[in-house]
Amino acid sequence: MSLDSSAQATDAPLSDAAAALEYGIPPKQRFNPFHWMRREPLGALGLALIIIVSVGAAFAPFLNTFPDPREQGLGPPLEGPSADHWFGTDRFGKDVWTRVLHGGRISLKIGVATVLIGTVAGTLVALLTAFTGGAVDFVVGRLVDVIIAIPSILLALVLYTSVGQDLPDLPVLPRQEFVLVIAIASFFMPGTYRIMRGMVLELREQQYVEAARVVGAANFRIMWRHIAPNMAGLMIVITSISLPAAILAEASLSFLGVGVEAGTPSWGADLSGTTRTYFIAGPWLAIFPGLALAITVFGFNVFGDSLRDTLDPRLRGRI
Amino acid sequence: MRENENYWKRLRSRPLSRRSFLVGSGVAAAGSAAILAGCGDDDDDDDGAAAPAATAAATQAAAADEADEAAAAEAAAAAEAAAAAEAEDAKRGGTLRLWKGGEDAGLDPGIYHINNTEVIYSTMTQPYTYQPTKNVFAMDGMVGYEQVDPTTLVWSIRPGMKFHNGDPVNSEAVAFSFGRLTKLYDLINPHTTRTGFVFVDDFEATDDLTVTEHWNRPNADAPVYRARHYYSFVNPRIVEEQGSLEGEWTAPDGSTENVNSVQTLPEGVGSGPYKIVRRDATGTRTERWPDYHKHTPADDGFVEDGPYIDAWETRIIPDRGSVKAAFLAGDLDVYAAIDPLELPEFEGVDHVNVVELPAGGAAFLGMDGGKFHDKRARQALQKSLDYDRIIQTIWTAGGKLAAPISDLIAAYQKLSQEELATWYRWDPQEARALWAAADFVVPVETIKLFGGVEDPLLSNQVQLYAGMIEEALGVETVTEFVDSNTWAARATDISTDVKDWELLAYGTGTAGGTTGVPNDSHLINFDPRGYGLNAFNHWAGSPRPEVAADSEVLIGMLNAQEAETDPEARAELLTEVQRWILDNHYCNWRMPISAVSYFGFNSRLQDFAPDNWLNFYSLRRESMWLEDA
Repeated sequence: MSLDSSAQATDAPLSDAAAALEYGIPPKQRFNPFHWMRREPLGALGLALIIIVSVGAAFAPFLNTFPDPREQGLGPPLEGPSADHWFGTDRFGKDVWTRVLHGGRISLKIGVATVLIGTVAGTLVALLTAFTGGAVDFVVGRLVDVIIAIPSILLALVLYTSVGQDLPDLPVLPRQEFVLVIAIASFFMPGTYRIMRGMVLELREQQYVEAARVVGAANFRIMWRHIAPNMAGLMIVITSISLPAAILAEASLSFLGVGVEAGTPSWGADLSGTTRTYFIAGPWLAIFPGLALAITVFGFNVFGDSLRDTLDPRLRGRI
Repeated sequence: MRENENYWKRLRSRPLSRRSFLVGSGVAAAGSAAILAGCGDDDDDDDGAAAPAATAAATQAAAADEADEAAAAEAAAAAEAAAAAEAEDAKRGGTLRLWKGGEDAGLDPGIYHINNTEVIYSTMTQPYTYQPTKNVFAMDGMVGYEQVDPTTLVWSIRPGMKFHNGDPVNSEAVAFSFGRLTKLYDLINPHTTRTGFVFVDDFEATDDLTVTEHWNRPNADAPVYRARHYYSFVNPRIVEEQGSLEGEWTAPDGSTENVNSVQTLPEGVGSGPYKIVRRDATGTRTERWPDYHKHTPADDGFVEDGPYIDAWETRIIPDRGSVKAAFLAGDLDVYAAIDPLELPEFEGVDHVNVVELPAGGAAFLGMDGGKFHDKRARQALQKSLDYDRIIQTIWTAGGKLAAPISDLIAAYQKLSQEELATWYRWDPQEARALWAAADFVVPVETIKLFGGVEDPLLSNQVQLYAGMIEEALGVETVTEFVDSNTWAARATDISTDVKDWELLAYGTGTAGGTTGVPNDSHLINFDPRGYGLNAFNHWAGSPRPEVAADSEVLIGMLNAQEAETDPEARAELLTEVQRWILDNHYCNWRMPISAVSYFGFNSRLQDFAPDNWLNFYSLRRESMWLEDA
């Protein structure tokens, strides 16, 4: 419907639907979670798994059977799952159920912090450089090319060992976790930058951006009010899809022995170190942390896919 | 039909979504697992099928007449004898495959580094003696010695030895090597046992193949001390020409000389049976040097035409789980310090030979004398540890308390477990009272327990100790684990009066041997001239008067026992020393250790003298060989 038809408008107020018809604005769709669950059953399953894991991690101090996941001698060493120790015990008599619950806190905390930092930083850099263009965009682009060329785990290891000692202890992130977050975020940032840069280049050529320029809007205002909001959907999708990778990266680094401090419960760390020596004698040591890790990653993956399809179906198959 | 309506073309052109991929992968994984579960475990089926066959064979055998049996037995005996003769004649050689946790930081035999012994012991002629079994030693670089008087020892060098570049190993080279070691100590404090030579006033080359040690006091252990690799002969010419300058050493008369180290082990610096051919991030390899001298007379460990093994290959494998997998797969020949909980995994593996060895492990918790100068503070720390719980948690197959010297030196160890238990007493209330009463020049608000990250067993032990200390004393504890080289550097940093840690953890107490010298096992860890000085700020020059005074007392006692050559009298003195250390909670504290230790050997390794693997001496055992070489 063309704008010319507005000439026929009366003074009477229009309903939303009528206005939509009148001005060509698509009608607002109320989000129906049940409808979404029916349409995206795998996404719903993923969300359910995420909720279960998150609740387990958040309420670990209430759900655990022993208060301290580091405490040793809580039971006989390498005792299989039992009524006292639901997931069995490790070589030093630590309760595996308690460690899996608390390990989820570390894995989710580091995963979320990593992706937030990596995604926000990548988006901001993309917004600033792609919108500005010119030499800045070129230099940053090449720099990102160089970073992407370095194997991600290697980059994380280098950062971990080089800046690890210099970072401070934060209230929510002890130094060793902070180092991990920076190290892992460093290889998420370039990827996010690449995707976001493309979007900024596309958005800055839109008519509403040109219109904003015409009326004299400053660059910062255009970026903040007109471009950034249109990037939000993609950013959410990138976040949801990067999260499982971040959790796996934390597990990988912990598995390599450069993760969280020794003894700290973490799914990755609990699958490495001494534990690996006892996988045959105590297979539950591998099964339960591994299962928790797999469920979480699977949940985030399928939920991220559904989110992408819901928020922007055009991206299907692209990210 | 239009071309684009072809089903297969549409299927190919259909984009594979991420979700489809995930679902497909999940189904594939589940299917694979089901197939594996269904088809695996064929062994049981085979066993089941084999059993009737075996029974049938046994029945047939039983049916055979007696004459046939006798003939069969005769034939079997003949075959056995032939096999034995064949094994005797078999080529003795092969590549011994070992592992270590990380790279070495240097190969100079006079400078202590971890992870380098497999190279040093094979490339150097280990002077002067070699100890094939505990408390017994044979001659290696020397052919004999004579104690001329209580303070003079004369060594006779093995004739015909030469360095890898052909230079002769003579008295001049031996005297140079000894002198360089003592000067390195003065310059860089290379973290080893100074007590092995502090009693030597003068070391001189008497003639081409004789050197003489002149001492300032008698020493009962000198011949065994010289079995340590620190005293290895190094080629003076190569050290001077290719060594790295460590500093300028000033003699008592004011003269100076440059002192070099040989951390890269340049060609020609050693005189041992092997030469290093590879040293990189993957490991090391040494190969037999064809011009190695004949070792006569042959004895336990040395053979005239040895060494038999062609090469030593040491892989760097940081992760113990991978080491075990490699050993079980037959890719490694030795797997040390097996946890009793792992033993079932080794049962029934054809090529694995698990041996129970004496448990002489060491586990320490050293205290910074700069902070814990008041005896009550050290006592409080020790009373905050629940030793029974430590043993129950860590040593599942049994643990024991450990005295300042190893109980493997049975002749000198008179302290029983019952007597030790009077010092190893958990008493949190008394601990807290002692802590409150203790004097601290430097306030201790947090207790940091500091250890190496390489061994997860150690980190678990340390965390157990930390929790106990925190609970008993009400003082916050933190743990820090770093790589072994960083750990060693920070442990031995003597540039300040206080350390950047409070308690230093080292040794897991799993397995270990003894040189037979009380100082090595383990008095050096308490010695104010040894680790007391190097690591724990417990020494005679300490700015804390009570630590300095205690150190003087202990040095006197240590000197007295070392000078005593009568074993019975020395045992009494050693008992006094140990009681004094325990009474005064001096410097260091031995934590409970394992009561048993197990080593895994590949069955192809022959004549390996299991006990020697506890204390490095296996590395000079030239009679070892590999069956399938």
